[in-house]
Amino acid sequence: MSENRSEANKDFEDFEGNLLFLQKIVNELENQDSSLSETIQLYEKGQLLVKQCNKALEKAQLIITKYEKI
Amino acid sequence: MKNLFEVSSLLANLNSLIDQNIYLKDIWIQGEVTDYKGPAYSGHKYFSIKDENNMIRCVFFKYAHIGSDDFLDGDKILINGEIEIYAPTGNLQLKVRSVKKHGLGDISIEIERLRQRLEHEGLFALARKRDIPLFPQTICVITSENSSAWEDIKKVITMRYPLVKLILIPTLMQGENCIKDVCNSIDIANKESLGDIILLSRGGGSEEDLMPFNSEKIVRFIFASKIPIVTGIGHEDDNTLSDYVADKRGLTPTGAAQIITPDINDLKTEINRISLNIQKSFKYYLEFKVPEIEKVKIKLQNIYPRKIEILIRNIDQIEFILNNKLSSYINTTINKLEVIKHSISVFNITEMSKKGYALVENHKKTIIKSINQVEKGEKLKILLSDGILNSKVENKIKE
Repeated sequence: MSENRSEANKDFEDFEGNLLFLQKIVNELENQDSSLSETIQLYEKGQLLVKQCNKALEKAQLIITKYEKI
Repeated sequence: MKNLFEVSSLLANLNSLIDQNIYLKDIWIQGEVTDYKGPAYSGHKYFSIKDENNMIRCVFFKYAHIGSDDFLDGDKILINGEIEIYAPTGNLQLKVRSVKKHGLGDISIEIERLRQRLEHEGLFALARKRDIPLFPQTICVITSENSSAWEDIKKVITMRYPLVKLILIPTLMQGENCIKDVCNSIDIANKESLGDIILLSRGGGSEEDLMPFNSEKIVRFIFASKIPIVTGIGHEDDNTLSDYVADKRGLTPTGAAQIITPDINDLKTEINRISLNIQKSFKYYLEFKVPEIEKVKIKLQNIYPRKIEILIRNIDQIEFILNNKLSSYINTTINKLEVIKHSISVFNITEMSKKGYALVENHKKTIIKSINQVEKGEKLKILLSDGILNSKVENKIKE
């Protein structure tokens, strides 16, 4: 397993959590109730997560290991 | 009348209920053929199958005939198929997938008895089936290392979801030691927490090859597994008891690999959709808020200079008042001090002596303030500004 492969998969470890968080960000942004600074923070966080998720999706490679029975 | 239905919607609802029951979608029935009058013009076969008291209508479409036995009225047959309600007549019917003549063999009867016993025990209950994680991080694959099943699984998961980790436990998937080895692998996967999902899979084979997956031992190990198990055993038509007890069943190794992994292309689309939504919402927010911000800015520009001007004026006034008050206070204080100074000078002993006043004290240095403090003949000192007079009391005259 190369360093890059493990890094890419590390980015993806909490993909489900990131996706849920992104959906929450979309909901909050659509809600329009947040203050300007909160909205900017949400937007920046959302952009960062989108970037991370896309990076993980582009770079990930299947890791296969074999369990050796004793 | 809450429960008022159109006939069509009632039948559609009933068919939908049937669709949700996996057992009704894949059942085996043994009985005697009746009402069969040969294939229809379309090539489909219509007949009924009955036991001593009851019967059910069957339809056997032409496309499903391949590999099935021919039969006539009165034949004992074993049918595999699914239950449905034929809407145009409202009749319950069995849509036949395959027919075998001469009824069940001994092994099949034994498997069916075991199936019924385990079902009765609740091992196949839908309620106990667990959800499969949508985004598994590690999938433990129990299969033979040099099998087409393993190759298919790797291929599918590489294409669909290369973000997952696969851990293979090489396992004998047929033959004498298969049951023991499969159970051991399930046990290892659980004890060492080797995945979020266990994929138990092998490719197609003869009935004999697949027979271990009908064993009670493997079924019970699958049932006891803490990690959800998905099966992909044999081909589409193969049904083993392991498939019944599994949390989810794929029809083949490829099918099983598909149902446990999301498609990376769907994920990319979803992320892209979310990204667009974020940008759209943010833009909308700004478009909505910027005019408000502009309004506030103009308001501030108008209000603040005026307020500051007023404040500066107030401060000037306060400074003026304070200056006045302070100087008046200082003058008053100086005057008071002068008065106090004058008073002190009046009462100063030296000053008083200069004016002719004197202090009288006895030999104990006590200042004498009354004639009652002295006796006749007592010696006293009279203190003057320039010296002391020693004197003696001749007489006391009370005034």
